[in-house]
Amino acid sequence: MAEADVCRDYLDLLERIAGLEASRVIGVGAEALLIEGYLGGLHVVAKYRVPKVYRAEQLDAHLRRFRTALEAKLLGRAAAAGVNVPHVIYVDAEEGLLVLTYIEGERMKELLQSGCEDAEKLAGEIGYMVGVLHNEGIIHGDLTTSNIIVQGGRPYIIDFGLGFFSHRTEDAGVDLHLFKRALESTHPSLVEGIFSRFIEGYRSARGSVAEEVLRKVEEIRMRGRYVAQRRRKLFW
Amino acid sequence: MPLVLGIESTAHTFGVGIASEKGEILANVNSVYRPIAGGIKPSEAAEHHSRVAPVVLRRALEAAGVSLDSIDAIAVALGPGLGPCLRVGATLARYLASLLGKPLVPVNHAVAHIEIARLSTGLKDPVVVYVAGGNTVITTFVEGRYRVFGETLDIALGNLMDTFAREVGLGFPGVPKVEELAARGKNLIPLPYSVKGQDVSYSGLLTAALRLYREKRYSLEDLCYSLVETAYSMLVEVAERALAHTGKSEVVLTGGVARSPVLSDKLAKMARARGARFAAVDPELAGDNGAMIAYTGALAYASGLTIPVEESRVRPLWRLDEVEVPWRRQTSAAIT
Repeated sequence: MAEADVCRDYLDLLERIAGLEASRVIGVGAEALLIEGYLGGLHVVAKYRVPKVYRAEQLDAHLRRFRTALEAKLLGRAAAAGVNVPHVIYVDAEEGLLVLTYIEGERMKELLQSGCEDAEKLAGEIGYMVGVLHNEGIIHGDLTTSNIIVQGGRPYIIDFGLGFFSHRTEDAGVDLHLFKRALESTHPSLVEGIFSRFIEGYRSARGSVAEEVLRKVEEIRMRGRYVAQRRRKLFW
Repeated sequence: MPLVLGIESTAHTFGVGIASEKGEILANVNSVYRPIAGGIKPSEAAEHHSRVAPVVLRRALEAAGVSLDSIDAIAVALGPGLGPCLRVGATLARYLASLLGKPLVPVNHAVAHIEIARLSTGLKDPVVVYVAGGNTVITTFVEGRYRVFGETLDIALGNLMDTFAREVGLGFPGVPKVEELAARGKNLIPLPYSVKGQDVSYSGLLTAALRLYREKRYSLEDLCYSLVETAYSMLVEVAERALAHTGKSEVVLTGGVARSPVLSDKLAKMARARGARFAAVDPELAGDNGAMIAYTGALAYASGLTIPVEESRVRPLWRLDEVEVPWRRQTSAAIT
């Protein structure tokens, strides 16, 4: 398929830009290409925001630059706050390239599916980390068990591609709501235990603010944000 | 071969089509209400529909060369749409069904846009980009229904373009007029590009574009070019997300805005880069029309979907993903 050729072109480009020794294409997302490799002997993952031929060049360049820089800032701020995230090794926002440390380990999704004894303890740690992120005004935007990797018994939060900075209770509430929805769709039988430990950890990071956010989560759920609220707006 | 007569009256178009489940379209007669100034007034559109209904019905029967007796079922778009307009079509459908003693088939207007696009393009299982005056939805078939992968959080793409065109004095319909000027634009003016996960938001873009127009700092050509580039790129980006997420290999464009060559071109480029096929619905069947209701009604009728007259209330807020699509289950089973 043509896709393989396209990938090879990108790999050449990455080597030229960053001196990356690519070993494997991890995935071709809608927006970016994920490549595992080595940079100066360090095991890394490169996220390359592919230029889109359907967009005007100027717009495309702006979006790739803006999003790459934002993701790097989110990750940097998260790491400085002590949250387990991949470290930023190299950023070239102009080229849409972000190189991060490779987190080796198993995804939380598979861990839960195969029955993990430490699941609830991990959930508590994840809740704490998300609480710290929210204290810093970092909204992840795509909290799912696919975006948590457990390395040496410690959970890491990855993929801040849909993240943004905000201190609004609403945005924090949506973050938690999406995480719960993801648990419900992927691990229905484990939701109660996992989510309550997650909330415990979240509370210990955020203190009294947590109650406000949790009320918001309930409100978002009750107003059926993804059905009833939108239907009023969608059709005229 | 059972024949179904379909009635469309969800917004500005009153239409009657006659079609079979196999996709033969025997008639497609439509009459569009045009407001003298401003946007659609539901009550005036409904008046227009009641006035033209008998003529449109008669012309459709003449075009198909069939009598009412040879029709096997009456299909009607019960929603989503404007209440007063929907009631005109529903009233006629109930009357015909009662008079002729034929079954009444409920059709969702959005599903009809999708089915007519599949028929018209021959694409089997596409990611659907459905854009019109009142709708902007990215959807695809998963487990018995058309699931919504992304949609507008506020106004529709057609609404954005029509309102902008009207406010800057380009008239209706907005898309071709704005695109014509856009073709002569050269400079991209930064405008709000608002993609939130899978969804888009167009209201801020409209406000910003109109404010810049009133400030008169840019030429209208450049403003149209920037509006088109920004609005369409947002839509193509969420379509690409849906394509990547579902792993499907086809993209189809349908709805009134599907006549836009600029949007088609962008979607085609995106699809090509991902190794997917792209096609847009036949322009004749892009806007609201009776044929799509008749054809979708025929599919539904063949699956045994009918509704008693006394339960056939109009559903102005009938969401696409609430509708069961039993005929797709059958076709996919037949393929595999």
